[in-house]
Amino acid sequence: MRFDPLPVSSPSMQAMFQFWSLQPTLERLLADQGAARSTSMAFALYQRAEGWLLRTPLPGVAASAIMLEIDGNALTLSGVWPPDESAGARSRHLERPRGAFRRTLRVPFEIDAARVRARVEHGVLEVELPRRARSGPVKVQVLSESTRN
Amino acid sequence: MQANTDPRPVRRIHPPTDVLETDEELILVADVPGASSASVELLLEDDVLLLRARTERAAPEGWQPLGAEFELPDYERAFRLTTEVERERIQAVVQNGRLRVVLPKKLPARDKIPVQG
Repeated sequence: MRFDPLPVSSPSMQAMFQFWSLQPTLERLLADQGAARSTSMAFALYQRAEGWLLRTPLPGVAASAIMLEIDGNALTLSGVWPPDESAGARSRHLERPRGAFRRTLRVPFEIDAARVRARVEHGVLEVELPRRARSGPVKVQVLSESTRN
Repeated sequence: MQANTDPRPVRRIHPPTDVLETDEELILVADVPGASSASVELLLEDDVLLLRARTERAAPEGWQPLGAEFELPDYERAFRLTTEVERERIQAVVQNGRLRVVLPKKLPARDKIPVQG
C-alpha cells in the first residue's frame, strides 16, 4: 500500500535542501519513489564495492522510533515525526513536519538484510546497505544411465 | 570560529522552527539536523535571540558520493521576542538534531505589601 502522509514542507524547509545534478541512474532511482518523495526525507547516497550507504535527516526522531524494512532490493524507512513534549502549550507558529513519514529506496542489487547497519547521529540517519554476496558457480553432476538407477 | 575546509560555499538557512507558549514560558523548537550541542550558538541581545549552528558536511570515510538531494547547511535565524524573559534562566538542549529553547517569561513582580492595622 502506498500513502503519502508527508506534511507540506515550509518554504524554509524546502530551502534547506539543495538539489544538484544527479547522475541519470540515481535520478531514475529517486524519481520512481513518486508521491513518497519529500524534501523532509531527502536522501544522499554513497557507494563502494560492498554496497551503498544512505543518509537522510530525521531531526527529532529517536533511533528506536525509526522503522527500517528490507525486501529484496528495497529499503523502506518509516516512522512518525514526534510532537514536542510541552504539555498544554499553545502553538504560536508551526513549521516543523508533522504526522508520519515513509519512503522507499530501490537499489540495483539484492540487499543482505542480515548485515544492514543503521545509526543516527545528530538527527541524521545513516543506513549501510551491503550487497548480498553472489553464490559461486554450482557444479551439477551429470548422472549416467548406470548411476541414476 | 572553526575554519571551513569544505570547498563548496556553505549554505546557511533558516531552520524550520515551532514557537510554543505556556503561561510561564516561551518554547522554540528548531530542526537543526547535523548540528550538535557544541556547534549551536545562542545569543540574546536586547529583544533579539540569534540562533546559529554549524554542521559537519564530510562524506562518510571510505565511501564515494553517488548523488544527493540535500546537503547539510549551516543554520542561522533571529527571533524578536515580544515578551520579556528571564535571561538567566534560559535553557537550551540539542537532541537528535532538534534544538529546544525554553525561555521563562518575566512575570510581573508581585510584592507583598504589608497591611498595617
